[in-house]
Parts: sequence; structure tokens; C-alpha cells
Amino acid sequence: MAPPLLKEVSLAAVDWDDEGFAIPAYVPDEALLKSLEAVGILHPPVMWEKKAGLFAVVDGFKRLSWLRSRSSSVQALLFPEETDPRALLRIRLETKIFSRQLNLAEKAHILARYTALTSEEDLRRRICPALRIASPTESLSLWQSIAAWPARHLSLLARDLIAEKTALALAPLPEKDREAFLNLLGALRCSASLQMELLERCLDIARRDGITVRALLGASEMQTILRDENLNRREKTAAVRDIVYRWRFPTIHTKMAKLEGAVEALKMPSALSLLPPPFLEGNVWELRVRFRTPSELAASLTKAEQICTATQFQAIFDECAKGVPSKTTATASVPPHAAA
Amino acid sequence: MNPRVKKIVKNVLVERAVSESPVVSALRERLPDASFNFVDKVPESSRKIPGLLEVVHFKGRFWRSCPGTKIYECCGYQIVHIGTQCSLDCTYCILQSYFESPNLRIFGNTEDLLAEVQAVPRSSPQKLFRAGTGEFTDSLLLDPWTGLSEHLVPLFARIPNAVLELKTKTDHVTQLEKLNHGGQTLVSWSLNADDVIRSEEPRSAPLKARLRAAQRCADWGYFLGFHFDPMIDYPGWREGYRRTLHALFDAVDPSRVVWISLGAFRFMPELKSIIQSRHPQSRIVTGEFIRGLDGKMRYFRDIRVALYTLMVDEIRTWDPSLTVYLCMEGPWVWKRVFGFEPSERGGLPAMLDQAVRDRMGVGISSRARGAKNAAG
Ligand code: SF4
Repeated sequence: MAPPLLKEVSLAAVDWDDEGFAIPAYVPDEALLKSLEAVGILHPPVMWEKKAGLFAVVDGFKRLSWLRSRSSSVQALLFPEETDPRALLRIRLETKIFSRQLNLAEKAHILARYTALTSEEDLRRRICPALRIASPTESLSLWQSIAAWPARHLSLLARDLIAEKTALALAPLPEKDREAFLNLLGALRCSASLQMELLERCLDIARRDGITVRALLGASEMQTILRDENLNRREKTAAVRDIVYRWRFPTIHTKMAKLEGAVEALKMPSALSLLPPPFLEGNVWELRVRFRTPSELAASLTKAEQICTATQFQAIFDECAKGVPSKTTATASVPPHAAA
Repeated sequence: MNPRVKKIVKNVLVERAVSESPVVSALRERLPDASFNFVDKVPESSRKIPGLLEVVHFKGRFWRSCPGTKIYECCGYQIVHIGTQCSLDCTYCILQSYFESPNLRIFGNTEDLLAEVQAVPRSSPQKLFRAGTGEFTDSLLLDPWTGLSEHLVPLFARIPNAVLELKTKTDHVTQLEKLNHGGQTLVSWSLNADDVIRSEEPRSAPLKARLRAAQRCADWGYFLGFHFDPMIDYPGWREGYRRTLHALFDAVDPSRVVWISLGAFRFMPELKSIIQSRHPQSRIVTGEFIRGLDGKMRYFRDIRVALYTLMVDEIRTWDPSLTVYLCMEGPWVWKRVFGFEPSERGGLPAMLDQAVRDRMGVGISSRARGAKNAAG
């Protein structure tokens, strides 16, 4: 392949609609814009003379679009017409892979574009590790499908609002379900682990109840939380987490809430806390005592002894022993969203 | 009604070391259309090949103790290891996660297996052994062709301190008819609500066929066992399980039944994604599970108690003295279901040993057994 030559190219002769070499980042690069304003273009963009007098941008899309309103020409590294565009795309992708930290949308794009240029083996062995993509055997096709997401979804990825694991788990979902969940995550901006927790639970509920994720998230109770202007993001996240838990584990939620109520009714001093076995699995309860001095401990122990004989204390164990109401199935009755 | 026995095996891959074994001879005779290939060593493969049966020379222990846990009550079962994998493909099956050898595999060195079966109970003559072959495969899935029960059943009839349990979801029992079982083999079925059988065990025998097979075995003098495991919490489970119980009550005489076990669905957390990808239509992993004290996912305690209580109440109306037990459950659940913990009755293994003595008359002195038989 002939090397590129530094030449003056008229911006009027650039085919601005040709995005054959574009790898969109889906986020504005503020730092680059500031640098361009301060010192202009430092490195020449790369172009290809795709036919005599008509040029395609290979590298430098952002810089050139900044320049377009400011100048009529640019000094560019120009590949001649006879250059194989596939080879050029390959150079472009390789440069991108090794040039800087890429966002998830860019990674997905690079992988998808590279698929046509190289073997699956090369993608798995060389390109995926270079892009820091884990378990390429399982995830390759998912990444390729992510690249085909609409721009509004990819921009959430590019802005780091969606964790990598979440994106991969969302990849196989129908577009409308994915859209609904991405909107939720866009509103909550929660941690990666919380994203996965919410997604897994929503998928389980949808599967259990035979509804779509979109229908689930569209339930009025959910929408009320999301629209509540009195709640900040953190509070909304907590409320959403709570409602999703309640929908996913109705029996457990009801039981644990009742138990909590029964423990509260005991009105234990703040130095004591009573802890049931986690999820009532097992039969070992814990009583925690906080104290600073031996006399404080003695006072708490005396109080604890009194509590043991209180009827409210026995009520906790009675509550605990109650089973699932026999009129319903063991699972809760139809959750509110399913009726919608 | 003649049960349908579908030929599961089309190709047999045999290790040369076991090419002359009785199991291989039986397979060649009973599967005339199957192709047989002989190799020095069956390669470990991660690819599942439908219709393939591997016959290997097994060098490990054939007789093992069931790996129980300290927290959840174990029944003290002994495993007679006859092979691995199963083609019934139940959605919840743990064997799906055994990626190293996904194909049907049996052990061709039957003589070694039988020798070990004979030796272990003999080494502890005071102890009663309850052994079964259905831990890593279905006991009777391949039996019409391997003829393994033709060796095992008469062998157990000669061991005074052991009983054999053949656990299955098939109706492959015809080959058991003429065997000399000496009353020391119980054939047992894993049962479930019909809805669950249809959705989660679609390749196994339908409920009616299982019960019909149980009737036939009872007619041939075998004792029976039933295992409601895994019990699934689904909308309508009460009616579903009740219907299955009533079908069972109509089909067999309770005096032939040695035990009924109950076990709510539980699974290693890793199995969830496997089930979801292999059986996308299944909803069983969407139940209300918590992580149990053994690390497995299990239904929330109240759900388990509800499932078990219904079963126990119904079974008690059929036969109040029948041994019903919970598989891998905590004493706190036993207490709520039965009102006692196994430790109050000497532990679960002792309770099951007692059921064997009471119902099968095995494990009691020969004099006492004679008296019992005369009385019976
Ligand atoms: S019958 Fe048992 S071994 Fe076979 S697939 Fe079903 S659960 Fe697994």
C-alpha cells in the first residue's frame, strides 16, 4: 500500500456523508474542543481520495467538523485513490484500539467493523484482549449486536451510565424492553452491581409473570416513583430497589416486614438489637449488646432478661411460626403490574 | 397396557478394556441396530452427542456415601455408582452443569462393581445399608439394554444387611419381572404435579405411566418408594400436588410403600443461567429463593413448609404409619412440618433404617424375620 502524502485538501471536496471509516464516540469530546480553540489542529487528519477530486475522511472526524466552519482547506495525510479501503479501515481500527481508553460504544463499534476484516480467531485472540473484553467466546456476538443499537442507547453506554456487564445482559433483549430498562438506568444512574441486581430481578419477574420488561417498568407504581419531583436520584433508586424487591419476592417481603414490625413493637433500648436468622433460614437468633462500661452491660442484660418474658417477645416467635396463607399459592397473588 | 420403551442409544463407544463385559454383550444383543466402536480410551468431550452411549472402564469407587451436609439432615444413603448423565433432560437437572462429560456413560467393568457391592455391606455386618443407583443418572433409563439390574437385584437379595433402591422417572420395568429380588429391592419413582412433569420433565414417562409401572412392580413383589423431589412452587401447586397424591393413592397399596420423600427445589446458584439458556420456557428459577446455609438456592422457609405440610397432611390420611421424610432439610423445618426433629428419633438414617425393617423385614435377625413373615 502506497504511503500517504501530506497535501492541501479543499474542504469543499470532502464527502461529508461518507462515514465508512467513522467510529462514533456518542459523547462530545470537551477537552479536544478546548484544545482546538486554543491551538488549532496539531496533527494532520487522514483522508482518502476515493475518486479523483473527492475525499473521504479516515481519521479526524471531530477535528474536521470543527474546522469546516472556520477554514476552506486543511493539510491532510492523503492516501491515493488506488488504496484498498478495507486495508485503510483496518489501519483506522488498529490505531483506534491502541490509541486511548475507549468507551463501551466505541469498543462495540470497533469489534463489529473488524468482524468483516478478520477471522473470528483473530478477534478473540488479539482484538478482544486489546480492547479489554473479557470472555470473548461468550460475549463476541453480544458485542456485535450492541454495535447495532440505536444511537440514543449507545450514547448511554458512551457516557458510562451503563456498566459493561449490564450492557451484555441487555444485549439479547427486545429493543423495547432494552429501551425501557435503559431509560430507568438513565434516570437512576446507579452502580454497576445495582444495575445488575435490578435487571436480574426485573427479568425474573417478567419471565415469571409472562409480561415484558417494558410492561413491568411501565407499572403505575414504578412510574410514580420516577416522576416524583420531591425525590432525588438516590431516593428514587432506593424506592425502585424496594418495589422491585417486593415484586420479585412478595412472600419474603411480607414476612420480613411483619417480623420487623414485631421486633419494633418490643421497643428495645438502643443498646440492644435482636437479629433473626437471615431470611429465617436456620434457628439461631442473635442479641447484640453495645456497651461502654461493665455497669452499662449489666443494665442491658437485666433489660434483656425482662424482654425474654414479655408477651411481645413471644409474639415475634409466633409471627415467625406463621405460614403462608393457605388460600393463596405459596407465591404471592398476582402482582399489580400483571393486571395492568 | 404395554409400556413404550424408546430406544435412546444409536451409537456405542466402548473402551477395549471392557469390550468383553456382560454389559457390552447385553447391549450388542439388545441394540442390534446400534453401531459399536471400540477405542482404547473414550475421549473427554464437552460436546453433547445425542444417541451416544459411552462404555468405560471405571477406576474409581463404585460404592460411595451420599455427600450430605452438617446443617441439613442427610438420609445416610449409599450410592452405587453405575454411570453418569441422563437423556431425560429435566429442566432442573444438576447434571447439566457437568460439562466435562455430557454424554450418557456407563461403567463396563461390571465384575468390579458387583465385587464392591458385595464387599462393603459384608465389612460392617451390624449395619444396615440403603443403597441406590440413581444419583448420577436415572436407575432404569438404560436398564432394558444394559441388563444391569439382572445382576444387581439378585445380588442384593443375597446380602442380608442391604437393600437396593432403583430410582427412576421412566416406566422401564419389564426386565424386572422375572428377577429374584428376595424382597430387598425397592423400585422408586420421582413424582411431581402433572403440570410440572409436563413443563419440566417432558421427556420422562407421564405420571400415569410411572404409576402403572409402580403397580406392575408391586404385583411382582417389589417394595416401592416415591420421591416428590423437586417440589415446585407454582400457581396452582396445591391442587396439582393433591391430584398426583390421589392418583398415587388410587394406584398402589400403601403397605408396599417403604417411604415417601419430599424435597423442595434447590440448586447451586450457577445452575440458574444454565437453566435459563437451555430451557428458556421454564419458569422454575423465578421462585422466591434465598441462599441456604449450604450455599444452595432454596425456597424461602415458609414456602417449603407450606409445600411439605400439604403433602404430609394428605399422606397421613392414606397411611398414618408410612415413613415420610424431608430430603436435605433443616431441623427447624422438620419441627414445623412434623412437630419433631429427626434427632429426637435417633436421626434420619435411623428412621429410614427402621422403615426398611418394618416394611421390608430386612436388617432384622432371620428368626424375627421368619416370625414377621409368618405373621404377615
Ligand atoms: S431423570 Fe434425573 S438424572 Fe435424568 S435428567 Fe431428570 S433429573 Fe436429571
